[in-house]
Amino acid sequence: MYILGISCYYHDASAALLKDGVVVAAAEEERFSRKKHDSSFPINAVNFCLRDAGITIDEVSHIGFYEKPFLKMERVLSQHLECFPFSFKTFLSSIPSWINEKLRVPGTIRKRLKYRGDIFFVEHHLAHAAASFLVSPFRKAAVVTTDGVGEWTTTSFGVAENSSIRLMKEIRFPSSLGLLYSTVTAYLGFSVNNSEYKVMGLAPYGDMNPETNPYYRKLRRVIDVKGDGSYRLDMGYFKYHYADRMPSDKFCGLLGAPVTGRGAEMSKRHKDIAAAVQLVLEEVLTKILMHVHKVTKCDNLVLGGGVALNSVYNGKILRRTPFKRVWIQPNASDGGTSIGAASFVYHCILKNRRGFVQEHAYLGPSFSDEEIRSYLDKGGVKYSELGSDDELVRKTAALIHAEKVVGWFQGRMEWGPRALGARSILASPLRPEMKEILNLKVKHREKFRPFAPAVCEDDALKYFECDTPVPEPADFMLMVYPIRKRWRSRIPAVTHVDGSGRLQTVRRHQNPLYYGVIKEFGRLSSIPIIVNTSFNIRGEPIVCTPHDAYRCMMGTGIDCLVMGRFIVFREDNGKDMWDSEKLAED
Amino acid sequence: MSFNVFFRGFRAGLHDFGSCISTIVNSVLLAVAYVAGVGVTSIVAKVVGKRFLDSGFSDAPSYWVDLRIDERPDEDFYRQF
Ligand SMILES: [Fe+2]
Repeated sequence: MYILGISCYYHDASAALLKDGVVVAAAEEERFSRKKHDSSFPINAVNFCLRDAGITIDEVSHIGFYEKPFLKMERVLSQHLECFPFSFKTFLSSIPSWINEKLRVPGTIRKRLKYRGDIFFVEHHLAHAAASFLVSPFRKAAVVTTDGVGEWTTTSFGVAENSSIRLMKEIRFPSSLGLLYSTVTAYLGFSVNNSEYKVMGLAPYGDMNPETNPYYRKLRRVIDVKGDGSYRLDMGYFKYHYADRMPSDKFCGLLGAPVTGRGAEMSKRHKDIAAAVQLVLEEVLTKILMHVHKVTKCDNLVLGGGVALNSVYNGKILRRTPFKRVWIQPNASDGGTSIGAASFVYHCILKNRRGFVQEHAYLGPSFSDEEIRSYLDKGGVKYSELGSDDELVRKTAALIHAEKVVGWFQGRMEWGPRALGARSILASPLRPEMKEILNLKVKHREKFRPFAPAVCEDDALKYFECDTPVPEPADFMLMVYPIRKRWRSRIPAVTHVDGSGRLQTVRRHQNPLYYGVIKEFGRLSSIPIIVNTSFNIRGEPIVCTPHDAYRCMMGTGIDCLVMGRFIVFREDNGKDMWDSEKLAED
Repeated sequence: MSFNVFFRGFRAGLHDFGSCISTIVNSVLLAVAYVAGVGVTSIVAKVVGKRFLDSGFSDAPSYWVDLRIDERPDEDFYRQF
């Protein structure tokens, strides 16, 4: 039985295909359309899923959609009714898309996919909960979902067991922890629904002591938090419920200056504000989790929703709360809800038993060596071919050890926002200058942002102060842990200002080639840790096809591309060079 | 300039003109709907003290709201609301 999950029309549209409850393919539309966070109907992602499974739409028995559009429309209308006449501008700009597409989901699915079967609509936070719990290793767990907003819900919790999910309580719009974080993101001059992780990366540069950080006390004024973690925002500080802007003038007054301009240099004040919002988030989430543990009496926890991508907090959960195990969907934000909607239909509506655990995120398109060779030959690209996996691993590790920046394109593309060793840029973490080299050659990103270390799971505890056993979400780069003090100066390119690292742990069975490269690099350098950053041009989604990868290498300063069994050196193909920075948008 | 080039340019211009007109008409209609529909309802609601969004701090012991969305027939999932 095939079930298709679809999410679209907010941000990060995606599709996922289940075969008898097993996720066989999943991808976000942006990877095909090449528009970052593309929210349009995910026709390319659906077509990929069907093609990958070798089926047509006629073989799909059910489709699950990730929200209930009419409930969401009710909330949008309520905003306009509450905020009349100040919402006039957003009414004019947003209502046409509701009339033209968002309220026509069944029609669009039937027309664009030529589909005639059942369509189920799953509440947004239920889809988040399902995306995490139903593919987790737990039989029973407490579930907490936190995001910007779904239909009405912004935070919810409940308990899930076997094939049922019972969400018990919620916080409703306009109070939203996710939107509070996004408001500070906007205030600091970053883009909403895109750059929240930059605020998380900036926070450790600020004062992380709530006693001494002046902005912490100010931000606590905008949110009232009860002992059970429930909260409400003072909406006088916000505008997002009626305008296309997040902070109000009162919010700017509270923090003592207008909204920061795009690309502005981050001062001590900005860093303290980032630290303050991270402190508030951590404080509220800890209270929520303590309460949820008390109510559910479960030792297992699953998290869903965009706030679950806050890897800095995730790394603290098991130390700060009584939970003993945690699991998080690698695509915890809205993109992941297509897996949630499809899984919910299969298990909770059709009452099928669970048997699938999502152990990796390699669910996207892959390209055979023949396809890659054909692409390279057609384009007249100069390349060399490696004889075996062993040679590929040794050669790649040697290049990284020689301080080359390596584009790594192997197997199925990752599901979710992180590059996890299928579409990654790899480099050596041993020299502090590598950060500058990567920024200069490829990433051109803010200086304060750290690069991530990838380490084999069996080596993680030697270098990082991880929870034991190492939680599975670390495989998806969702947990930040302190790097053990003695190693910090040895791997400066991946050591953040507070001594932490947003590590990716790699298990051999998940990705043997990648695992092999890290181990071989360890043999050469005596430290089995490499830099892993996403393989993309600034402002574009992560690469998907051989063409995207080759184009990215030639438009940046990546030294070479290890793609399937082939190595392409940039300097051998100088005629194709172009400058991606000329067109970059963030 | 060939006839084809002229014709293509003419058609593109006509298309842009059409889009412009439809944007203006849509905006006018939406503005009327906003004032007559949203505005009147909003004013009446405010007069009778109806609130559409929960905001403002309260002394209640908790802000959690009951959410029992599991206990319902499967037919509910066919609906968009
Ligand atoms: Fe969401």
